[in-house]
Amino acid sequence: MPIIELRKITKVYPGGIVANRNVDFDVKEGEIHALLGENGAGKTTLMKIMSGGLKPTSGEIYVNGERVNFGSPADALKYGIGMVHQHFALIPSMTVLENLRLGLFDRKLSKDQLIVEVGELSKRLGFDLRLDVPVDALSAGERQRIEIIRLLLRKVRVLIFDEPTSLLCGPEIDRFFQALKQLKSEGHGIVFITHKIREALEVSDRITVMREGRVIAKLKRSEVMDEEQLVELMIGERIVPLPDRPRTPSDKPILIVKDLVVSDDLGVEKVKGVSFDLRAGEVLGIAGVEGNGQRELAEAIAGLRSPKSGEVVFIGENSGFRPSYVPADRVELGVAMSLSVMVNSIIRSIDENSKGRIKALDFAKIGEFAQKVVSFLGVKAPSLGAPVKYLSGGNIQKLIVGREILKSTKVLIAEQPTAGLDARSAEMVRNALSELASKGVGIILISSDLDEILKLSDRIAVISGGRIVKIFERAEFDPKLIGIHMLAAGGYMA
Amino acid sequence: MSIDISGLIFSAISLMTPVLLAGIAELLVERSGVLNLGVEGAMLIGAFAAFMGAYYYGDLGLASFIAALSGMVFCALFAILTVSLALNQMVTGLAMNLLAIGITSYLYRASFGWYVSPIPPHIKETLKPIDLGALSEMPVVGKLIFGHLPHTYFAIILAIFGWWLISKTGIGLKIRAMGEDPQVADSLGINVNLTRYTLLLAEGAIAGLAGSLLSIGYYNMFLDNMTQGRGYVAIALVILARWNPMLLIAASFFFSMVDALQLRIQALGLTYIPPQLALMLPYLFTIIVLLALGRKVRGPAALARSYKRQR
Ligand SMILES: Nc1ncnc2c1ncn2[C@@H]1O[C@H](COP(=O)(O)OP(=O)(O)OP(=O)(O)O)[C@@H](O)[C@H]1O
Ligand SMILES: [Mg+2]
Repeated sequence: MPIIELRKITKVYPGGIVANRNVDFDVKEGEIHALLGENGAGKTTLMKIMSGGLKPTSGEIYVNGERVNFGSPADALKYGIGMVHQHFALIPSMTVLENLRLGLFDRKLSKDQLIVEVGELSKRLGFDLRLDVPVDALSAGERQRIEIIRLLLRKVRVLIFDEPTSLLCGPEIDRFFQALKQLKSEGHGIVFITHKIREALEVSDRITVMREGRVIAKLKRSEVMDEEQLVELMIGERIVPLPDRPRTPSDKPILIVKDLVVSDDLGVEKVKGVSFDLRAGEVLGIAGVEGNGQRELAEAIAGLRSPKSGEVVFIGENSGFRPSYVPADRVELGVAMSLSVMVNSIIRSIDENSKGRIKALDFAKIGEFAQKVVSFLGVKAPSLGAPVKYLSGGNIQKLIVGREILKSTKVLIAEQPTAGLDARSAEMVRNALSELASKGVGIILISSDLDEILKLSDRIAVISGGRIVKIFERAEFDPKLIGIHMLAAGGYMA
Repeated sequence: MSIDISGLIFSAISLMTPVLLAGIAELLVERSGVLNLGVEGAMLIGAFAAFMGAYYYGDLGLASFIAALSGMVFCALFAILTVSLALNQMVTGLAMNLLAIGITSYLYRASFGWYVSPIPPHIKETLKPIDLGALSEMPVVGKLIFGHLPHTYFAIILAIFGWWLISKTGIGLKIRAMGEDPQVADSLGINVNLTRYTLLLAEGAIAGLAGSLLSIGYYNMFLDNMTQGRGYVAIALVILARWNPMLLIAASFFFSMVDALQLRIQALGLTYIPPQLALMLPYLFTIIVLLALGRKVRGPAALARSYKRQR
């Protein structure tokens, strides 16, 4: 008997969007169940229903064969069902230990007992948590481990992960999978949403594919032949990668970064003297383990964070110039969640979309631009007037990337541009970036996906411990060597 | 001209009582993510209710109880509007303060007539300090720290209790968590609404009691809008104290020192210092200190943001 079973689940959001239609889904003991589907297919919605975060419009939920109703995530936790969301449910200003204690709920544990139990769990899963640091200072991988431990402290039997690997880099993904396998061997049921089909094939026992709110395929791992078959199931067509672009970057720098030192919000130096230049028509990849200063570097170049010292100079632009920027944290920095798709598509270029002396908004122009953004990468939105919070994670990402690419500035900083995108959309974004570079735009590409960096970049700078430890020319690209440099020279491995 | 220092400190300690009481209650509420500007109104309601209780029943204990109760009812209304219905906390707080001014002024006139007589209605007895006998004979400090109203000691104990609650207990951890991110707290099974209700009701009672000090402690009558912004001062002091109860005691004391000083300057009857200027001093002091120290402080991240569960 499955631990949890959803029967004929339908979810209609207020406003009439049908996110799930008659979906059946279950999780068994000791299995890893991958949930795939294109952006907006309804995966997150279904898992929120299974973990008590949302109520289904109709349908039934059974735990161990017993019919249940979840009023809140806490209810679901009582039945042993817990979820790790894309946006971590941690309080950044509190320490790891405090965050763990918060999750205990009605379990009474003294601080010492808690530390002992956390130690045991960590040992089993191969984690090494630092308990006294504020969560703020931790990488995505470390935060994810805290969430896993916290769920286990609550004795959950089913763990649900929403795109757990999208912000992790290679070695961290391996560690994560290791932990999943350990949990599986202990009899836990695991659901894991992903867009990376290779990952699903690597660890899962079963695969469910969703499309437009419906389950369109349920497969055992052994029934799947290859990646292409799954892609075709997911989006109804095959993806043919475009041939590589002609590499013709000029020698003319358009951005010079000199001795840049940047601190994070807590005043800790994260970028410790970085210098490089970016040439027109070039893609400069920045590879590194997440949390080694990439974010602060990007924010400083984008003009969102003032550096402690050093210079960022855009050649041939006046001092108020702001490059296009795709932030890694789309919810915090990318969009205003309760404003409309239309407003969000011009929110970083309001002046360009105003007219006359008093800078009245030019709605005709805005509407036109928003329409362009939406159709560029195929953002699935109820309407241009709908608030962005009604969009699925991947569709928000498409909106941001589309907006920044179409703005046509000379420099683009793209942090994790394809995180959370389905295979087709990710490929579209990569092609769009290539095309942009061949038009002479300089692109800084920060990504945890090494394949993506290798494919798109003309040069790769490896960042580690807040310093650029080496810059590789395209002819010298070697994934192994780059990986070694990522962990070298004081770079910390989270 | 000379000012008697120990007398000054004594009156500062006694003047600090209402702002410290209201302040510690507001501090706890704010740590849970709710900004209750209505603390001003709750004090005013308390002042009025206490006076009415004392006037009609002649019992100061009963009057204090009525003050606490009516402050609680007032904040319960605020809680319904902002916690259950998730209305804007700032707007609701301001509106409720206007309501408090209107309602007290109206009921006062409805009870005592529409014409202000030369001698407003007053009560014969006011709250008495605790008599600690021999203790207050202690040299130097005896006179300063003993012989205050019981409320003063209660306020200080409450502040220390608040510090312990916030920084040393599991409940405090939960309160802080919901002040940072109520959605996360909720998803972890912490009952956000219940906790906020509890804290707001407690705040109402404490602020009501603080208000009662004005009408049946320091004065023996009720005057329109007699709190004169002390609730707002308490809110400013909470910021000044960086949401730390221990610092709040210090902040309230210094504010009251300036207030006591101001009263003495007025009493000197110097013609070249207009009384309005003296009256301004404590507020000016608060603004200056806020400017100097309050710019970089970071309050609870979710302060004043309304929270509603997603359906
Ligand atoms: N809060 C909401 N209100 C209204 N509609 C919503 C809301 N959240 C999601 N939707 C809609 O429901 C559909 C499914 O969204 P969901 O987030 O479940 O997709 P998903 O499969 O997780 O996609 P992604 O891969 O992009 O994360 C989408 O069309 C989306 O626009
Ligand atoms: Mg999703």
